[in-house]
Amino acid sequence: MADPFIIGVGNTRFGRLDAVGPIELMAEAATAALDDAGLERGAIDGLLCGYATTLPHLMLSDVFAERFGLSLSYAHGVQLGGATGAAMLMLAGDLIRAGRCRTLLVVAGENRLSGQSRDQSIQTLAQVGQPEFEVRNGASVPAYYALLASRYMYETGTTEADLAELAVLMRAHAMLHDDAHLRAPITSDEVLASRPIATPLKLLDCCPISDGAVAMIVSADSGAGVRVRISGSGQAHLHQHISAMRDVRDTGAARSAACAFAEARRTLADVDYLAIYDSFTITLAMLLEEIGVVPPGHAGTAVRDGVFGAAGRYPLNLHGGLLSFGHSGVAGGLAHAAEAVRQLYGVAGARQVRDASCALVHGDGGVLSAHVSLVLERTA
Amino acid sequence: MTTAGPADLTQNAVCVLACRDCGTRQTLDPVFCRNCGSTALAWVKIGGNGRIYATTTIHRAPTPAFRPLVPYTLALVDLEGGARIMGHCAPGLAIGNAVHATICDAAGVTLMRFVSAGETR
Repeated sequence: MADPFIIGVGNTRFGRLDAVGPIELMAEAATAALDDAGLERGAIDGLLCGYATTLPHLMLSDVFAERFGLSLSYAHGVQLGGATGAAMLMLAGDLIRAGRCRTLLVVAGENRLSGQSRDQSIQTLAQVGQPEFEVRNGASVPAYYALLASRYMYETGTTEADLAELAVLMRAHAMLHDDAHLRAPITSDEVLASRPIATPLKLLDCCPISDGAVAMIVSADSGAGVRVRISGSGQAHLHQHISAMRDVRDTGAARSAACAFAEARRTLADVDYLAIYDSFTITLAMLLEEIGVVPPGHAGTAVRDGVFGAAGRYPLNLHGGLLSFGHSGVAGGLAHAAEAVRQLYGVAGARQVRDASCALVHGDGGVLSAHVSLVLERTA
Repeated sequence: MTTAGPADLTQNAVCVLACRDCGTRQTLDPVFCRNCGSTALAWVKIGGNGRIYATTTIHRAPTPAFRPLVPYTLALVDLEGGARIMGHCAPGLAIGNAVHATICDAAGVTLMRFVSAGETR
């Protein structure tokens, strides 16, 4: 059984990229990933691609393959909200282990910011809610996460100041990445004073809407030298809608991560880089705490203690996360994994941590509804 | 009392699915009873008393129809006798507060609105 390795990573700049469509963005990232892997397009036999809200299509995979000049033996799209990127990498790994594919291109991108109005984007995303019971009330994605936040803060003692620390941290990390959407420094006071969106969440607790694309090459052909292997993966799906979420401290994140760790024969103690989904500050706090990186209610304190910085015990989202690198849909979630891979290869430049060898990647879709975890390891 | 579904809103009542076999009230619209697995589920109108499970005040409306309403408050309410439901909510209430359901006309539709128990609006 062949092991799957991530052998190439590419991305476009994130932010406002006017006059570029989703296919063009995906092509730019895919070209960069192929160059990074030292491969020609002809080496690709499988394609997994994310959806694009600005280009809804029954078969985006084949639209992209045709434009990009790929002849494939396997291709389709994947739709799992924010967890799509991690889910595609998990599936790519499984397809290689099964012998179905030899080398897959995993790609996603869209002009989510410049290709539609903010209203349109917000309305499209709100549909992850239940139409009759939730969306009908004028609810939206920030509203769902704000409701979660109110309950989680009530149960754990997490404060708005704690959440603000995570926003400041992500911005500080993005400042070191040339491709990040938001790079102006912010302070905790500025986060707390930013305009309310859905209490307790304020503007700077929310990720931006961005244009951008990310691509990766997953292959059975590891070649010589240092390689990054997908060692374990797992999922959990306990609900779709926030009304049906049973327990804000058992959303599925810990179950998903436990499955990935078991498959990799690793534990959290082995991890030295974290790539955790952060659509809102509360998302990041809840995921870190449920996975067990820090106890419930302690994410803010851990930021203050330097735990999540490049020199800390658990360097976290050193590209800046969705909160500051940017959120262009599926590519936003893939960007976490892209940074993890670069850190493991030791090619993250100014952001590089010392000797990263094992990363946990975790994506969530919906309202902490779909969870996908990956353990990535550097192998010599 | 059986009813057509969740959009059939009246004062002091909410519509939920209830199991004809075991009586369990359901959150949202599952195919199987979450308690006994029965498919004999029917919409019923029940008294709208409950406690706030989570709440938020919206300052950025998702659609033009809701824009004139901001800021408006939403809550998830745990109803007496089971089931959790989302509705509008009077401002200033906190998690754990006792509430009951009223209706209000807003954004061109009739919406459920929870107010402090004992009050009418």
